[in-house]
Amino acid sequence: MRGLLAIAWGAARREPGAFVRWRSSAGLAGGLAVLLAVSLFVASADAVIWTRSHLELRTLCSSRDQLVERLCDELSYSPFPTDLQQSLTTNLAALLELQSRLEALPRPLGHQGSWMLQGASRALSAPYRRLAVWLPYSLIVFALARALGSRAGLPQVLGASALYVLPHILDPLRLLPGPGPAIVPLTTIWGAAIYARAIQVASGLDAPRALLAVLLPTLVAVTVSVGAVSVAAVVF
Amino acid sequence: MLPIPALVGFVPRALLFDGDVYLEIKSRPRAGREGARFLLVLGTALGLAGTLSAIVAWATTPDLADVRRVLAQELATLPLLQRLGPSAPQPVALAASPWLWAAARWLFPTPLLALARLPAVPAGLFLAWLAHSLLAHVAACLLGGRGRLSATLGCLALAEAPRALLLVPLLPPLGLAHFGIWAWVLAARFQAIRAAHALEGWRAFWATLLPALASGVLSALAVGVALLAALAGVR
Repeated sequence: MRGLLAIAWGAARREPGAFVRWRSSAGLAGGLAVLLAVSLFVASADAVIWTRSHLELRTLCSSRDQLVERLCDELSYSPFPTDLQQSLTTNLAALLELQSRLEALPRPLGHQGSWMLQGASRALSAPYRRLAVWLPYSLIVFALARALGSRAGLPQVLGASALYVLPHILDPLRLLPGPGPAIVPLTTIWGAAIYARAIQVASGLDAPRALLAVLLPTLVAVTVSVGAVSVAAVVF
Repeated sequence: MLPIPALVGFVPRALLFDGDVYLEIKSRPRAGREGARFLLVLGTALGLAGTLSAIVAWATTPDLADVRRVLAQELATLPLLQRLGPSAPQPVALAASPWLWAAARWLFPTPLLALARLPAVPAGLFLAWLAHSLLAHVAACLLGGRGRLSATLGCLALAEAPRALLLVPLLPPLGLAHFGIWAWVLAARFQAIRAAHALEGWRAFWATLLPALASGVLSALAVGVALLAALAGVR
């Protein structure tokens, strides 16, 4: 266990040797275990906060009011005209009011039991949400790496790339006042850097080709999205 | 015939992309039947887990009739929809569409409907496996594969093993999060086809992807036709 933690710490610092040692010790099973553990840890913290806020109705109402106020403040710095700003704020308030009415509806288990079970379910579904992003993307990166000359196997590449999730263990710190809002962007960038190094080491490709394999799916997705939005803007 | 525990023992190896597990099932004289037994067990377990999850979801969410009533009352008063002018009635009428709520009732059933829906899970899994395996077998043979149909059926049955990850209690409806499981199954199907037909990498890739794309297009067409029918009914 201590050895695995040392390897994981080395991977978090993007040491190439750590990914090689991870492949021969923990491999894909270890990578999936890390993904599961970190996802559950972060989601459990969120689930506790979500459940508490729903159990304390006053807290929920005030947090929704704060959301509307925050949107109003942020829009005041935007270039949008005043009537559009007011319309966006009014619509958000109306949607949150609709959400409140739907949440106030009776349910068989009662509100308390329902919120607690739903909080637990939210935490349980977190690993699946992370899997839905990591696995398809990594499969595409693997296919690209193979096309660029890699001879690595799928379990090797997936096992190493799963370690991108390590910095996200710090995500619950985003709730701290002050540095809180900077935590998630930092852990995301750190995780992406770990991912790129893991793909490079596991696939055996040189840095430029490994970077191409990692970035190409994102670039294609962004290009297609921008194109679709542009076409929609022209049509409508 | 392999005992059920031995079949279930293949699941962890299939999940970790151990290619040898597909060669083991391929070597069985009645690989197709072994695969069908595996799917029956998996499908029944998924049906039971899905029923339990549906009952928990029913107990923790408002009744759909109440949700429909609130939406029918409140949607028309939303400022955004009022600004849409003449086209505003469309979203409100769509929200009141009986087809939409019948589909929602199927997705978020009462306990009785969840129990009635249970046999549909193994039956649906079996039929989907059969259809996909036949398409994949044809695609693999066209790309130079040399496998028997029985081997294709057996290996592709084992490729459904990642769905066992849905056997977690209290799991809510996952929606788009299913995409991860689907991707895992697709990767397993690639290994299965490669093992069953002794195909090299890129041929096995296309033999896996083409049937998946065909199924995806057909499903999207079916959903599109259903939505158009619902919209036509609304008008």
